[in-house]
Parts: sequence; C-alpha cells; structure tokens
Amino acid sequence: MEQEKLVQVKNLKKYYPVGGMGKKKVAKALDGVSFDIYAGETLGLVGESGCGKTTVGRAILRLISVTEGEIWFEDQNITNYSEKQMRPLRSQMQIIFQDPYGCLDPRKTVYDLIAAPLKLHGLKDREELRSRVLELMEEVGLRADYIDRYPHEFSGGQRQRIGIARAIAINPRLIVCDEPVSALDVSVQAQVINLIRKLQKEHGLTYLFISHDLRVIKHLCDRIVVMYLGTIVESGKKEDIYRTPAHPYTKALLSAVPEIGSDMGKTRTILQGDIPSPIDPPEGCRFHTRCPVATEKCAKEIPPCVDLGGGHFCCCHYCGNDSENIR
Amino acid sequence: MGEVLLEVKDLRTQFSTEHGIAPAVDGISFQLEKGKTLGIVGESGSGKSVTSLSIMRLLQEPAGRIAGGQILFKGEDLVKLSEKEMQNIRGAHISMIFQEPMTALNPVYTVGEQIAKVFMVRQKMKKKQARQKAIEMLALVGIPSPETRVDNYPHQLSGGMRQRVVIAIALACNPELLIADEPTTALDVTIQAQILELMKNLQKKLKTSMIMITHDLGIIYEMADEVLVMYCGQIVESGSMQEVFHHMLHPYTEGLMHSIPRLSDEAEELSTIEGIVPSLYELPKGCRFHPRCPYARKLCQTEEPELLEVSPGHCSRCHRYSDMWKEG
Ligand SMILES: Nc1ncnc2c1ncn2[C@@H]1O[C@H](COP(=O)(O)OP(=O)(O)O)[C@@H](O)[C@H]1O
Ligand SMILES: Nc1ncnc2c1ncn2[C@@H]1O[C@H](COP(=O)(O)OP(=O)(O)O)[C@@H](O)[C@H]1O
Ligand code: SF4
Ligand code: SF4
Ligand code: SF4
Ligand SMILES: [Mg+2]
Ligand SMILES: [Mg+2]
Repeated sequence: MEQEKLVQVKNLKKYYPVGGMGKKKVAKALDGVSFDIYAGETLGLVGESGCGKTTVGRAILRLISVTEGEIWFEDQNITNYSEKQMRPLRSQMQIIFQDPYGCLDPRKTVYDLIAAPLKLHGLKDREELRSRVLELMEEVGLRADYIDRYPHEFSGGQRQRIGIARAIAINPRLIVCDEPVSALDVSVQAQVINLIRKLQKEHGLTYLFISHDLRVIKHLCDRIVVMYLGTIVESGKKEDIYRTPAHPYTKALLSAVPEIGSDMGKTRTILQGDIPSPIDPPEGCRFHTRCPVATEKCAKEIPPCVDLGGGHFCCCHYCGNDSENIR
Repeated sequence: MGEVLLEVKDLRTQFSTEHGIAPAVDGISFQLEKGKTLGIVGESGSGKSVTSLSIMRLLQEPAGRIAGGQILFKGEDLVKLSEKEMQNIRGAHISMIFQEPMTALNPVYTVGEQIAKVFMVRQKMKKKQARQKAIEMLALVGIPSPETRVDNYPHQLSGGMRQRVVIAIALACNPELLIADEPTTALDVTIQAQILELMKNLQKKLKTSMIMITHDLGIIYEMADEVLVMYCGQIVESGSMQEVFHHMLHPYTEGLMHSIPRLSDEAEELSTIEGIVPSLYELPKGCRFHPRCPYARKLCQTEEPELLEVSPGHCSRCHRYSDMWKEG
C-alpha cells in the first residue's frame, strides 16, 4: 500500500540577504532540500546548529517565504498561498518550540493560553471551553488546579507541556517539534519525550522532529534526514542511519556522541575545523573541507544523491555500490 | 593512593534572597588527587556551579557566602584567604573555564593580547616575548594559523575557537587545577568532540588535575576518574567512574542513567524520574529525593540519610544501605 505523503518538500531554497556594504551577499540557509513526510510517521531532522533545520520547519508552516522550490501539504501546493488561503490549513499544522517561555504570553493564565487556539477555532461556550482545557491539561500531565496560574510559576518541563497542549488543542495532522526537549534536564526530557510519543499514538499525529541530539532523534523517529550546511547529506530509515550510516558526516556525528559504556571515545573520528559559513559555502561537496576521506574530486564536483535501496539515500561521491570504494 | 591536591570538607554555601536562605551547597566533602579528573554531574540547580565558584572564591558576596567548611588546596584553606591572596591562587594555581566562552573573554582586546597579559603579569615577560608565548599557546590548543589568529578579536572566531582560546588563557599560567564548568554545553557535537579530545590530551601532557562539571553522563564516562553525583546541594553518590557506572547505588543515579536515550538502546519508552527537582526553599523533609524515589519508605520521609561508604571508596546517601532499612 502506498503511504500517504502528508508533506512534500521539493528542491527548497532559502537565501537570506546579509548586510554588507555595497556588495549583495546571501546566506544560503537552505540550498535545494527535498524530502517527504508520510502521514503518521515521525521524521527526524538532525544536524548541527546553523544547518537549516529551523528554516525548514518554518518554511513548511509557511511562517517564512522561500526563495525557490515547492511545499505541498496533502494535495495542495501551498508555496505561494496567501495568509487567507492558509487560514483553513492553520488548524492542520502546529509547532512546538524549544523555548516555551518565548511563545507563552506571561500575562495569560494556563486557561487563557490553552483556550486561545480553541477560541480561534470557533469554540465559544464558556463551560465547554473550560472542560476542553481541563481535558487537554490532563492529557499532557498538568494538574487541574494549575489552570489559573501564570507561565512563570512553572518549570521548563511544565511550560513545555502547556505548549504541547496548545499545539494539540485543535487536532492538527502535523506538528513541527523544533528542539522541544533541548533545554530540559534529562529526567524531565524523558518525561516530555514519552508524552510526545504517547500523543502520537493516541491522535495519529505526524511529526517533523527537529533536534541536534542524535540520541533523542533515534529514540523518537521512524525516518531520519541528516543535514549539513543547508543541504541533505543522508536520509533513510532509522535502522539504516544508525546501523549502516553511509555518509562520512553521519558517521562522524554518530561517533562524536559521548556514550556511556562505549569505548567510542578511544577510536572516534574527530572532524577537524569548523562548520563553514552559509555565505560562500565550499564548492563541490559542502562537507569536503572537513571530510576525513575527501578527494580532489570532492572539492570540484557536487556529489549525486545515491539510492542505496529501501529508501536510504546518501549524497557522496563514494557511497554508491558501484562507485570506487576509497575506504 | 596518590597525593591529594584538593580536599573539600563539609562545604556549605548559601544565598540570602527575598525568599529566604538557599542552601545551594549543603555540606559536601571530596578529595581530588594530583593528575586526576573528578567529574561532577547533576541536573540544573543541583549546586555544581556554586561548588566551583566557591572553590574559586568567586561568589557574588554578600548575597552568596561560604557558611562553613574548608577548601584545602595543597593543605592551605582557601576559605580563610584574603581576596588579594586568592587573586594569586586564581592567576597561578587554579583556573576555570565556563560554559560561555565570552564570559571569560574581553571583546575589545585581541585574543593574543589576552593570552599575553597572563605571561606579562605572572612571569613578568616583555611584550614581544609574551606575544610569542601567546602564539605558542594558540598552537598548543589547536588553532590553525596561530600567527594570524593572534591578532583576531573574539568576535572574529567561532564558538569552538573561542573556547580553545579560553583554554589557552586558563592553561597559560600552567595551573595545577583546572575547573571546567560545562565547557562544551554551548557547542555542537562535533566541536564538543574536538574540545574534549583537546582537554584530554593537554591534561596528559601537562599533568593538570581537573574538575569536570557537566549534566551529560556520557561526558563523565569519557573524562572522569572519580565521580560525584549531586542532588539539591548534596552529594548523593560518589566513587570511581567504573564503580558508579557499573554498580550504581543511589536511586537518583539509577533514574538519571535510565532517563537518557542511548544510541545503543532500542527501548520504546524511556524510564523517567517522576516529578521535578524541589525548590531549595521548600526542601522535602527526610531524604531530599523521597518524593521522586520509587523505593521510598516511611523512614525516608522523616530521617535524613547520611552519605555511607557502602563498598571501599563508593558512597551513597540512601537508607537502603543502612541497618535501619534491613530492620524494616
Ligand atoms: N533571519 C535570518 N537572517 C539571516 N540569516 C538567517 C536568518 N535566519 C537564519 N539564518 C541563517 O540561516 C542558517 C540556518 O539557520 P537555522 O535554520 O536557524 O539553523 P538550525 O535551526 O539548523 O540551527 C544559519 O546560518 C543562520 O545564520
Ligand atoms: N546568585 C544566586 N542567588 C540566589 N540563588 C542562587 C544564586 N546562584 C545560584 N543560586 C541557587 O543555587 C542553586 C545551585 O545553583 P548552581 O550551582 O548554579 O546549579 P548547577 O548545578 O545547575 O550549576 C540553584 O538552586 C540556584 O538557584
Ligand atoms: S563527496 Fe567527498 S568530501 Fe563529500 S562526503 Fe563524500 S568523500 Fe567526503
Ligand atoms: S560575540 Fe562579538 S559582539 Fe558578542 S560579546 Fe563576543 S566579541 Fe562582543
Ligand atoms: S533514602 Fe529512601 S527515598 Fe532516599 S533515595 Fe534512599 S530509598 Fe529513596
Ligand atoms: Mg534551530
Ligand atoms: Mg551550572
């Protein structure tokens, strides 16, 4: 059975103009990114800071315009939809942010905060509103007697629960989770991760889960897209990415994670140098300035995205089955 | 047993605030041997940074103060030293690295000037010679083209490069003790790997003793010889890295270990520690962990457990290892 593609991202580019006297320069935040999100799955987007994860998330929700490419939601090309055209779709797509402080108005109570999307959606009856808010609070694990409190009275984990309640309030199909647990302590992080997973099961949600943390991504995601400097370097099922990573960057990322009980630290491939700037990114393969196995060809030619089978793709000159193996 | 460089005895550090007295560090004791790395781990607010600031005597007084205990550095009690004497210790014997490199760097001086200053002040070097030493230090911490980078201002460097500069400044005086408070938390994972590798290599080379503070148990596993687990201002478990990771004793340590998703783990559901870290102003009676502890009994609600040595060198602050527990 063909799985439904809930979101399709096609050759997406986002160039930000950057200040510079006279000369016009751009930061290539996204430079030709394509992937699909299937209904009901959790797609993980992983990569180091600045690689374009947040930009992808915001572009899909049409919170920012794009330079080139297309975004499809269900069967509609929404790339150039007006705000008015977007309105009926807004209830279908929601976002949870890393810093729940940023998006919670400090003057509003928990009730106001969670009721707001419900009101926008046309629910007016006071009784009904209150009982729906209480229902949502219970779902996300907030005590009912917190209903009249303000965000500052809560810990980071509890504020994240408020943000989640707001996001699921109007039964969206898609939730973009942008580093939702990155600011939380491990014990609270685990609680929120379990909650996110539980809600998916109960509501059949589809997630785009953005994180720089490979451990969290592995735990939550079905399929994974690895990004580097505005491009996708590898994508595939979780098993493919974690058991048989093909791209040198993915391998280095995995080996960089400090793991309890692993002796990886002793044999780790340490990438040299810094992530280059998205203004004038490296020619050829963008990763070649740091790649431990780069060749001359890598500095000149953009690598193709090689289909390794079973939905596993790797964009490297040397990861294909029939290309010369240099490792 | 090696030579003890630092011995902290029953350290108590408090903050007076509008909400009352916050016992941020509440009676901690530990020893650090020469050349070894002590890892301190715990969730935010557990007192890790206050511990390091206390050792450095960098608390914001008078709101924060050391209310009791001793910090014996090579036998000398730092708590009793004057600010002037402390400045000498800080410049020449103990250095500290913070999470955010910019807190240690001055944006209006080049990185070369900032490193050179250490040599000019400490070793009374001439400007030219100090500059040469600064270039050497930059090379030591792995900064490419140090001869040109030496004239860069901090904002011209990436986050990872800045943290390298901070390490260069911290090591310029060849300290006996380096305290690193979440030195890689603000960095990307591949850059974190670089910095941890650098710190390991430098430590081997320079034989510096180190206190490594982090919330990441994976980093502790890689870096530490000895481990302290902190909760609400107290040590709840301490011991060698091997002991703490492979034979953990305290329910909090156990909870922490199981809440981390791991690369090598396929579990669907993460186990969690219920609830949240309590406020320092409303600490639970008895064992501070009892409201969240799956093993808690009545005893835990009333009696505060002591840090007991359960096996040689391995301690746990939990009634489960006391005779009272066996008696029921
Ligand atoms: N409003 C903006 N103006 C200019 N550059 C931007 C803007 N937003 C993001 N960028 C740049 O785009 C790149 C990708 O950013 P982002 O999507 O936030 O990355 P990530 O979420 O992966 O850390 C970065 O280099 C960032 O500096
Ligand atoms: N300047 C201060 N004033 C009042 N309380 C403080 C101050 N600095 C730290 N604390 C409190 O001390 C406790 C321990 O803090 P800290 O050592 O920074 O924790 P961490 O383990 O995250 O480093 C926290 O509860 C914190 O609120
Ligand atoms: S194309 Fe070349 S530089 Fe790029 S990842 Fe592959 S081997 Fe490395
Ligand atoms: S990054 Fe630049 S502007 Fe910001 S504090 Fe550092 S030197 Fe100053
Ligand atoms: S003393 Fe009791 S509550 Fe505290 S950790 Fe031990 S079993 Fe748990
Ligand atoms: Mg981001
Ligand atoms: Mg701290």
